[in-house]
Amino acid sequence: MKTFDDYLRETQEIGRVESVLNTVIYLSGLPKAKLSEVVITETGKKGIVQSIDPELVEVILLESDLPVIGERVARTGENMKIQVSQNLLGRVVGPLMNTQDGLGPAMGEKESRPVFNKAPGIQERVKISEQLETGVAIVDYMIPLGKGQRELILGDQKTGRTTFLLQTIYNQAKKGTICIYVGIGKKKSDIKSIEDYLQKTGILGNCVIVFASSADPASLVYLAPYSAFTLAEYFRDLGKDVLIVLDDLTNHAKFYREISLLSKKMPARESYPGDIFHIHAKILERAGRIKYGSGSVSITALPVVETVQGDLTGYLPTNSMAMTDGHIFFDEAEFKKGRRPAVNTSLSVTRVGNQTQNMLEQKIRRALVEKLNLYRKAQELSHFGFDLPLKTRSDLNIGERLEAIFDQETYTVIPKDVALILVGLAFSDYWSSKNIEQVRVERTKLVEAFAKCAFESVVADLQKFEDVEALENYLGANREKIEQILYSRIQNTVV
Amino acid sequence: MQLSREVIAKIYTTKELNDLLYQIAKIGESARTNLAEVNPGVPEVLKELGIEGNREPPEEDLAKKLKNLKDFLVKLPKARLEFAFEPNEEFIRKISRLLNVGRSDHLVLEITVKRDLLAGATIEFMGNFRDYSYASILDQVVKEKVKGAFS
Repeated sequence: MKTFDDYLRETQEIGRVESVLNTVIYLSGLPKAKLSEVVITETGKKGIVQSIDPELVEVILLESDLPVIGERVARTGENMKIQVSQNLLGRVVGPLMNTQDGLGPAMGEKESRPVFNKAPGIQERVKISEQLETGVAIVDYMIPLGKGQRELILGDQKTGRTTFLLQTIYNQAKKGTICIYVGIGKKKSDIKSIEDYLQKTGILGNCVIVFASSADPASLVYLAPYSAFTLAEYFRDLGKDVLIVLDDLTNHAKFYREISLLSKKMPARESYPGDIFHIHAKILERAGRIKYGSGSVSITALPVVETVQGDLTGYLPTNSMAMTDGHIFFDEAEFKKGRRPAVNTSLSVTRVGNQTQNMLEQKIRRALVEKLNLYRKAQELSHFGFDLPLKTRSDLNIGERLEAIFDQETYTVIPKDVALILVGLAFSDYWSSKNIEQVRVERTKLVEAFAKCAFESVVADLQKFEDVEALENYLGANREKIEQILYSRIQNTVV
Repeated sequence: MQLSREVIAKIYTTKELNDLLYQIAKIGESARTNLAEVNPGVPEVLKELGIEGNREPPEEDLAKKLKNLKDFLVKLPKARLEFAFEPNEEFIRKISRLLNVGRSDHLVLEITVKRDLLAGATIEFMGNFRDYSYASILDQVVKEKVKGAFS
């Protein structure tokens, strides 16, 4: 471990602290300092060179202890690096990869990697062709995500964004994907509850929580998504698919705004600095699907941005929409109606996810969009109170049943194959004569039966179909078989 | 700011510079009252600093000149030197002359005594740092010996 004196002797350059503005400090000297280079003070405090002008060097400090005016500073000649290793799996770490869960340091071999790594070039990338199952039926069928996609998660506070993210993490971690949850400027209690959830569900071993709390210096909060991506790239380069959740970029932008205002950068819209778009785009560009041997590996990014009163036209939401491959909007109005998840499918977009679906799934998606649109129109008509035509009543009937299917209890996961059976059953009027409560009960039973492998033969048959009609016909013809599976199991358990 | 080379050349270290800045500050204060009455030595300082032409200048003009002079002096380049010993006047003058050879502006020395250096000196100028101390040589030798012992 090199000391200040070692670096001073090596680089033969010295700087002095001229002014201290919270975590931003200005140095004189250091004539050959480079952008993103790490500097060290004589008391061992580290910082990153943020900008350089002829007179002064601007540095953001990575510590909450501030240096004194006149303190000596040396260049290290190195860019910001962190030590990553496989042993970080199952741990809660800070942006500098220091463990924060009280279980001691991560042992074993470590690899040093740059925090501000470049995004893979166009030649390294491959087409996104594999679906990333979230375990949330409405998303998997109507707003499908691909492995390597950057899908923005938008929504007001308390609209179920984190629940959706945890469902996705659970579903993916079970499949062996490495999941990195990045808590940016969150409260320690929030992170603790996420850690508890991951621990309780037994998936913590496939996850890493990177966490910079709101009490940490702004510079560390700013660094958190970069470090998390460095960690994600490490696992990706080991040949593993990675899912990274950035919760949330609104906080990141606020902390970056704090740093920028301190360093007297010209404030632009909503007082954010002009380069906030660049900062976030630079982070998200590091996601994607790239070549790996004869196959490919991916980093899927799910950045979260908060909206205020459902306003999608805010500065950060529109910025983030422009740099991602789609967005899922969690609507407060849907939430208040009792929809779980409160996804507004008509305001949500996926730009590359559609290409990961097979022919049948694409047709189902189109049919769902059509049926749900008809349902909403029929709902409006039904408010007038007159006798509805048969067709409208049918639209209402199927729409209500589809909504009941897609309503998922908190933290439950519906595998894609189950969702296929459920949607197929709804399309084939299996539930048309049953009430909504019955639909919900049968849906739950179907998920349970699927978990016990009771639908293996049905699923195998469904894979052969290429259009919705064939699916409907098959499920219509096999009503009794499905009922038998559902109810014979109940009788067994009762007996 | 036009100052004679003779006046500037007398500023060897930050000690002389600070003394001068202090005198300038005093002149500024005195100018509001009767200059000669408050500090009889002040007109001589003014003369030495090249403001002699305005023995009884209008107050505003003097204040402006003093401000310009102060700004000029504050901006003089500085070289930080650390010595393991207390240098005497003659040594300081020699070093100052040596470092100012061929320079268009005047370099002011900021000297500190640091006994940890054992012998020799360190020089810090415009962000460049050179360590000519015995302590650093000794440190290197010890490190190499330790490295050799464990390899």
